[in-house]
Amino acid sequence: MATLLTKANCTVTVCHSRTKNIADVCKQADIIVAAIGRAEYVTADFVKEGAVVIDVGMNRKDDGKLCGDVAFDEVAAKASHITPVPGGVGPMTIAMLLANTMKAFESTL
Amino acid sequence: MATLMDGKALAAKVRAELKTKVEDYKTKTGRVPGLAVVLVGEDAASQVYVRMKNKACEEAGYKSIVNRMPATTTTEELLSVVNEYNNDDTINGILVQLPLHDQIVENEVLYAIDPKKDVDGFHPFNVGLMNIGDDTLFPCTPYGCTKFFE
Repeated sequence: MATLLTKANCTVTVCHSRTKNIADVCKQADIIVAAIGRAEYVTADFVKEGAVVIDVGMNRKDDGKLCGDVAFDEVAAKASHITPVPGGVGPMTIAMLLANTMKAFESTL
Repeated sequence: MATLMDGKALAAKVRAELKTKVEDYKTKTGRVPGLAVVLVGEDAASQVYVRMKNKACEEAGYKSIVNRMPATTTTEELLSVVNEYNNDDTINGILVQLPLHDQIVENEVLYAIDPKKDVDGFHPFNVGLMNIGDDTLFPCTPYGCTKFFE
């Protein structure tokens, strides 16, 4: 993720589960990509007003509902753009699998 | 309130464009892209993912193989299946659904996939190319995330 965003001219900071003051670091970001594997971990205090939030997480809550790594409602109130879970990153993964297969096919022509 | 970035709609658009391309190639070359997905065991989430991948392929007109192998499959058995697809000209992409069971040496299997058919973008050769800034097959999930910005 970091490599591809760098390629797209982003200045990328990688945070992880052991990063100190993770909310403060994330609050600097114009774009947050959440993939920490913890349900609704990214809360409103991580997010700068107007940031773009991409949620890669896929977790099942106690009530059986799916949720991402982002606390959707409170973050959506602050972000300018946000991906839902489900219906955000997940479908794109499959589309890119097809795109990659097409690319591999085209390289054999 | 934030604008929703609708992955379902964006993915549908990408898939529709690919479908058009497939029809075009089919007319011009008589060939279509082929994807082989290998699923070992009966993990519930993996079964759902594999079914969705297969459905997406079929809808776009790809050749799609799903090879369901028993939970007791060995590394050697899986390697032999990977090799079969490596040598099959009608298969352009090979995806071994993760996670694999403990008896299988995961890296050995992933590294055996021909990098040109490594549509998951997990092979060290492709990861290396990506890291030095070359064009190659990129891992699907991060690659998909970048599409929201285009």
